[in-house]
Amino acid sequence: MHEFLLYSQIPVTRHEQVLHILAGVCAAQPISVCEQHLIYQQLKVADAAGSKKGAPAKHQSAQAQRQSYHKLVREVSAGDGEQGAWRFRAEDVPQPGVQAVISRPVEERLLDQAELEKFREGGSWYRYINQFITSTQRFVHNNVIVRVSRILSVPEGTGALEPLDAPPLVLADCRPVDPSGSYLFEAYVRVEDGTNSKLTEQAMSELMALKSQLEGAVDLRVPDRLSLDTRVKGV
Amino acid sequence: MATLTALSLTPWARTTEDEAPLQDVLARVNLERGHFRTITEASLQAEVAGDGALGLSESEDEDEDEETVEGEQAKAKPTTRQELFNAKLEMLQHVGAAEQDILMALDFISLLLSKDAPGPANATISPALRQVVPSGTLGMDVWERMPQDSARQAQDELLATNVRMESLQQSADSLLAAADRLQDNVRKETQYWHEVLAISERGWNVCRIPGQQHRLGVTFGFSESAPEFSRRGIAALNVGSDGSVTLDRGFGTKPKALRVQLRHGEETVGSSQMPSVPNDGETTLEARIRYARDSLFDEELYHEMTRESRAQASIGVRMRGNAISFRPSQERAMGAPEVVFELLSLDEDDMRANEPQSQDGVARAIAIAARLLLIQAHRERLNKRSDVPPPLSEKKDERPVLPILRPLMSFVLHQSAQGSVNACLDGLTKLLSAAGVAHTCDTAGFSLPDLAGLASAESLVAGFMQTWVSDARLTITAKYHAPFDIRSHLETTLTHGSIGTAYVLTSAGSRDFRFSLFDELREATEGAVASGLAKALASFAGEGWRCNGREALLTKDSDTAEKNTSVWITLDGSSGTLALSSAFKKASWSAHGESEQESLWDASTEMVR
Repeated sequence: MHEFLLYSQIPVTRHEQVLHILAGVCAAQPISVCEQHLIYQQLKVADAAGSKKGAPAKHQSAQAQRQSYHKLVREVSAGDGEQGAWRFRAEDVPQPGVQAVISRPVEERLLDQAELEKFREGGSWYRYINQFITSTQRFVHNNVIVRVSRILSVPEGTGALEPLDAPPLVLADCRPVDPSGSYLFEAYVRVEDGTNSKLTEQAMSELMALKSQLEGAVDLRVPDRLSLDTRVKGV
Repeated sequence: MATLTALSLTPWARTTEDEAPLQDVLARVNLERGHFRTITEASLQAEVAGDGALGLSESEDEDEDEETVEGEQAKAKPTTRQELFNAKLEMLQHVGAAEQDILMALDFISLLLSKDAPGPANATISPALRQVVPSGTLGMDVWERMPQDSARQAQDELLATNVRMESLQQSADSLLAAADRLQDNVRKETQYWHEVLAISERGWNVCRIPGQQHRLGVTFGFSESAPEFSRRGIAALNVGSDGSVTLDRGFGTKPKALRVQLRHGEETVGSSQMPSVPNDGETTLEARIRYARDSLFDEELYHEMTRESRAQASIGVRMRGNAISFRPSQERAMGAPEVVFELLSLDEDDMRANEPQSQDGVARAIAIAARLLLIQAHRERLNKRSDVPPPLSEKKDERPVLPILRPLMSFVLHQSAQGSVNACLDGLTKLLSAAGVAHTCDTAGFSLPDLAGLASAESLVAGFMQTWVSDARLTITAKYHAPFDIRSHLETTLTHGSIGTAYVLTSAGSRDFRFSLFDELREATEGAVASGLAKALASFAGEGWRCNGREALLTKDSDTAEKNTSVWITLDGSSGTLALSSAFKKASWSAHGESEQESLWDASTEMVR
């Protein structure tokens, strides 16, 4: 799957106003979503470890050779701590050629129990790094998904327990990572197949149409491509 | 003793000279006294006399005076060099300005004189002026002073006053007119905003019209409708000449409404209610908006049902002219009325058929249900729109058909199925009562959800979408046999797998049978009742008799030929007869016609003996 993204930042004073604007544009109310993200570092690259018999080299993205940071994401309901299923998310480095948006390949799938074991403490596949919580308001406009979110850090000592089994976090204890409390604005479109140029054209045009529609109210920009790099350095 | 005076010390003149030339004298006097214009002989004499008097005064006074004079003189003198320079500069400026004035006056006079006396004039005229203006160009005339014409002056004054008054009056008039206009505008605006606020407070959404500036409009459409309907759902508010607000032309007029009719053949047995429209003149703005919204909603409902009907032709949905007609096919449901949906214009509707008919309630219920289903479909659309969309792929999604007709049809089918089952059971009960067999019967009815337990309108409407289920039970209580019952279970669904009603027949002691046609159910029910009665008879009859349940036959082995060896029961629901027969005798009971007086049991006792 391929994603095209644009970002912006909303200060706290404008949060309500931006939510109203988006509700008008999308003709719907926002849906509140609370997600827990766990960050893992890949210790072994899966393909290198798996090819034993010299199977014919499949075409892989260049990134598969290097270790990256992967994420496990699940929805947490803010009120009663009810938790959804874990989803695995691997984001690659954004592609260098595209200037107007951030374009990156992403892989996302639901994990079953067997694969979840790879992420446990002491395994040889992944090492736990950190986690954070995002509290998001989500809007959908045709095929573009807009999220206004705030990243919260978990209280001290949460990482000590096995994060997959840890009891649900109390949201009141988590504090925003950014002390000014400003919100992160993301608009993104997903495309099933990144090589199909018709679909990518359509996706880009939808995203740029949203950008021009919100011009003046929210200015969407393209951040530095390498700041979204997920490769592990120094290994 | 030495007194300081402001005398300049010059050496004595060696030679007596003539009187100093006038120029020097004049210069000296100028220096001493300023301008010499005011000097006359008389004033000089007076001065001399005064000075002399001054000289004869006493020495102290003289000293004092001289001191004061000296003091004053000392004050008048500038104390610093800077002040001296400043004073000098100022004086020079004044002098320069004076010189300029004089020179200009000189030029003027010279120019004037150059016409009459060119010689001396040309001598005094300045070269600058001579270059600019040729000489002799300025002339001069001496006029007599005109006598004062008081009459004319008075007239002029009067004219001036009048003109002034006129113009003042004009400005006053225009100000008044402006004030009037302003008042008018304010009144119009107040009226306009009053009416717009009235609409807005009733809950209608007043908004800007995208194409036109300075015009407000009212939205009464639904945001989840198909695009062609939501575009029509906004009407501009026009301002009349007195500030009153009217809806754009074409809205609120020609309202349409959906009517549901139930028909048996050509005859209408039920009709839903149409909203009444008062005359055009009486409608308030808000009422017209409401009519427009209702009409738009019904039009959209009709449109969606038409779209749906195109896919449902297999179940008996047809378009008859402009009306959607649903007639369930005969083998699926007997005696079901035909349901007709029509979009009628309320203006042209001749308000006939006002007398209430038997199935009016059902028709009205169907109409209300259709509207509720459309609203539910809107809600579903909103939910689907707000979900995270799947990643873009090649698959094209077309507009899904809203399920409005289908739940209604399944309701009608189920109702008719129920009706048939109940009719059949009814016939059977009559027969059994005629035959004296004790029984109880539960007819099939709709199971309604508990209204108090519903959380929202959504859950109420969700009940429509589920399959309809009901049960009927016929229990025959026989004296010598445990009561056995025959249960039939009806399920109506319009999913693609099984369309129509599925009947399940359960009778005691045998397995379930599924049927999809009502006739089969009827026959099976009759067979089950007959076999049940046979079984009861077998136990009633005593030993030796064996029962063949499937054929409702009792057989007994016997030696003699004249005794009965078999007794059987036949049950015919359509003709309504129950018969107990043996080789020699037959007893029959009928629900409609005549029947034996004795009960089944008594008749059987005779036969089995």
